[in-house]
Amino acid sequence: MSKAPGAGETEGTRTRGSIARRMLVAAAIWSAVVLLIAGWSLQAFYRAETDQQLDASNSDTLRTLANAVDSDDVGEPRFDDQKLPKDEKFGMTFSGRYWAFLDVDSQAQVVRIRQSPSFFEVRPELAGSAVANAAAHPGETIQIDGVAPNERLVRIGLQAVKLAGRSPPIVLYSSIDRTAADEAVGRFTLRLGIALGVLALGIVIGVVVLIRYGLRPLHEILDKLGDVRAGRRDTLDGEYPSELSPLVKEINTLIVQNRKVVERARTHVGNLAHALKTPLAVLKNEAKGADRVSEVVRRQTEAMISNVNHYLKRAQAAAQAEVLGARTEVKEPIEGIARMLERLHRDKRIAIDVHADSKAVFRGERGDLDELVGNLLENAAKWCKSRVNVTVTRSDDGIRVIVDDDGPGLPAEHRAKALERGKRLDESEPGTGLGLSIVTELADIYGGRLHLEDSPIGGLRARLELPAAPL
Amino acid sequence: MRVLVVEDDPDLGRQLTEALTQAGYAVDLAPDGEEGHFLGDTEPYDAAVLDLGLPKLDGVRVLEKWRNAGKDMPVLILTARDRWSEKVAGFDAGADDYLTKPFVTEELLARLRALMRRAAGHASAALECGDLLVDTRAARASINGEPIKLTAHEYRVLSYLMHHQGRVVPRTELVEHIYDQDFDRDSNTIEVFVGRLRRKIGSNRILTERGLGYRLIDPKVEKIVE
Repeated sequence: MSKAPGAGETEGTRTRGSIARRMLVAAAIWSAVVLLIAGWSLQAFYRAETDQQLDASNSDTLRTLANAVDSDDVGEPRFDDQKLPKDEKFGMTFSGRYWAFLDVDSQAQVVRIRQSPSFFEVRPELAGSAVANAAAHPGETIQIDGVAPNERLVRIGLQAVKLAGRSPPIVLYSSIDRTAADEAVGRFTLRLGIALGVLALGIVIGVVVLIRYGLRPLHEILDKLGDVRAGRRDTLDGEYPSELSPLVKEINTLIVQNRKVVERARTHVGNLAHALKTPLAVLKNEAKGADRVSEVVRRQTEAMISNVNHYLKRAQAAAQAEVLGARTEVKEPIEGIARMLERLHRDKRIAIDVHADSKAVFRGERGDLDELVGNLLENAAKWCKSRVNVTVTRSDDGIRVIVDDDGPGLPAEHRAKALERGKRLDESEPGTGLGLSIVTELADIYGGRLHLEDSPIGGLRARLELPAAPL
Repeated sequence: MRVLVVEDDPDLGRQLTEALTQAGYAVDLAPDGEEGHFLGDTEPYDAAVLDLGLPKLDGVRVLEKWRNAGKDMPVLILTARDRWSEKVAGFDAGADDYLTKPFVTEELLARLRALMRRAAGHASAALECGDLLVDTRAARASINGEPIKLTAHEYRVLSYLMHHQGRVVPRTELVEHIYDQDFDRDSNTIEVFVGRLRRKIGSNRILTERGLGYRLIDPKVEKIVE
């Protein structure tokens, strides 16, 4: 129970990754996969499209070539030079456009070749299987990739035509340099990559924004919970998305429950205190005799009273220190107690000056603040000659209550003892001696501290440090 | 001197009544707030002991009503729950002192004596009138250090006159302050007590102002003119 509230993480909670990061990583992986597939497909489509254009070009040439060949009486091929493809590129060396007639035997072996001047006497490189394939299916066009005489890549079209009077067909050959087309595909791929990259970036940014926006109600809940802890808010109010409102409802129920339990405990403790004190008073007064029984009863009653006082106060305070969001203005209670003590010590004509920062708000219960300040003030009023000064200030991390008196003070070596439980330094002053020790213990429960020092106005200075409630 | 005790616990009420009676006071006990308020409102008391947790009418309310009606006798409040806000409320309502239960009756008696003395404007527990001395702590009287044996009623008469020495105390006032409520009052008995007192302390110390009442004087300062 001595653990100060609000001291960092509660036991049992450990962070397990972040929802935002999980969503971001999942979104990034998923969009990368989708974009890669999309990019690959688009590039493939584009490439297929360019191939198609090259193939169409080859097909044109093949049709022209088919028109330019005939056979003579003995089945030998006869070429009509007038009908050969007109494009001047076929005449330029390694221009990128080539044609050829392949005369094959029955085993599909090339026996003779008539080829365009662009070949510059270099034989076209061809896989035998492709020629055989074309020869086996006359009339069908076979499109393959190959290498030009100048080592550049070309698109090749092959087609076999049957000539009258001979059994092996003539295989027509047309090829076209594909470097330019490949470069176009390359440029397209690069641009596509850039575009898809931008798209990916956009998606990631969108996801981040989405996560932020989507998680905003969670952050709101967190902020409001902080407010509840600090006492600025009773419950988590407001409207929440349907996914979160059951959670919020549960949290609110817990807060109310917690408050109820603490209040019930406090009521019970108060009732117990009330119920015990009158019988104890009666017992104590009844056991007046000098006999042994009276003496034992008297001693034991004293012990009971001391313990009841001590532990009831502690239990009450401990219960209260755990209450969510307790906050108590300091000024008003101190002024009330000062007013009362001035009246109580009318004979001595004491003046209690209270200077309290109105921003000083104690993070705790009113009853405990009264107990803390009341005991200090009562001590000061009891011992002072005529003056007691109370100063309450607020610092960044807490509030400070300073009680000065102009009484005899307390030697430094007695101060530690004065704070011990049940110690009383002067038996002539009435009181149970629990005053300062209960202040120490109460302050402890709240994570505060009590110091005894020399007062600038002559007597003792009690300096009490307490946690502040946020403004 | 007459004291009102408002306490709902019968045992504590009895103890207080016994202790106060033993100390020489006339005592009335009220077991709840309503009766306590009524008695304090209608009877003249020199002091009241008021428990704050009372049935029917809360102690703080009782005190407020007394003060509003102009009752100014000193009031000592008893609190069981020693909550400061309750004490502050008690003092704001007009309490003069407080005791937290459980307490010893000696403590209560000492506080009450001090309150009544202060109300009458005396500084010390021992009241003096020339060589006549009344020690309110021990409820004893003496002349020149010679103790005088007094009955409870005689002591009350003397003590009241000592608290108000020099002033004419009407007979009815004296009656009201020396008898508790249940006593069968007969103003003639006052004359009997005063007569006996005169025999014990000397007839020149208590003056009879005809038609007005009694006055306690120091015979060395003021002579009785018959």
